[in-house]
Amino acid sequence: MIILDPDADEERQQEMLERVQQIIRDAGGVIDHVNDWGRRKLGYAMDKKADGRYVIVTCSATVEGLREAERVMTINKEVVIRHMSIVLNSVQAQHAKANGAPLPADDRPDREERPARAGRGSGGPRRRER
Amino acid sequence: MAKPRARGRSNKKGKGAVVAQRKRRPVLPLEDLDWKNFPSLRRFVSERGKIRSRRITGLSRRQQAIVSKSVRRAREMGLLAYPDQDRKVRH
Repeated sequence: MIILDPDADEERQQEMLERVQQIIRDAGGVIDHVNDWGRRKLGYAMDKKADGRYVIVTCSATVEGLREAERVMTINKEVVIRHMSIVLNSVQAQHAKANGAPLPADDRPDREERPARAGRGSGGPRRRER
Repeated sequence: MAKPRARGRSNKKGKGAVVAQRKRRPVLPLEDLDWKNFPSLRRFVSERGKIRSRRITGLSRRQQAIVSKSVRRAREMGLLAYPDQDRKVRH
């Protein structure tokens, strides 16, 4: 997952994405999916930025390719706010290969749950709220 | 006061009762539970953003481990907030 700065040049963002994918491919990896979640609000400000453009690249990469891609992303701080690579286990990999990583449906944008005060509630046996 | 009382009670009830209670686990399709699937992870964090304990979520140990790992990853990528972050902003 890569979080790009949506306020950076559109061109530079695209170039960055292309470059990362090229690096992975050049090192003998395969790009399976690229999911662009678009501009989203970050859960908290990173580098004083409130929004980020989320892109998730599902790929089979070699160690060298991934290292190089990460190095490049770390250097280009003005385009890439944050990045994270995760090694999937076989089940997850199968799933990801088939579906990629689409934006999960947010069925309840506002939380319907009541604040959890379970630790301080009445002394009875604990109950799950839902 | 609440805590010791609850604990004492569950001890008195004997093991059978405790196990029966524990079994109420949320239906959780594990393949759906992924660190990127932040809307469903919200079920397992409190309003403040803290990860809910197993006692409250009712998950198995393994499931809870997956959930907590996922929440931590989602936090790192800004999909979920860290606990007590807005406090810092407000004051």
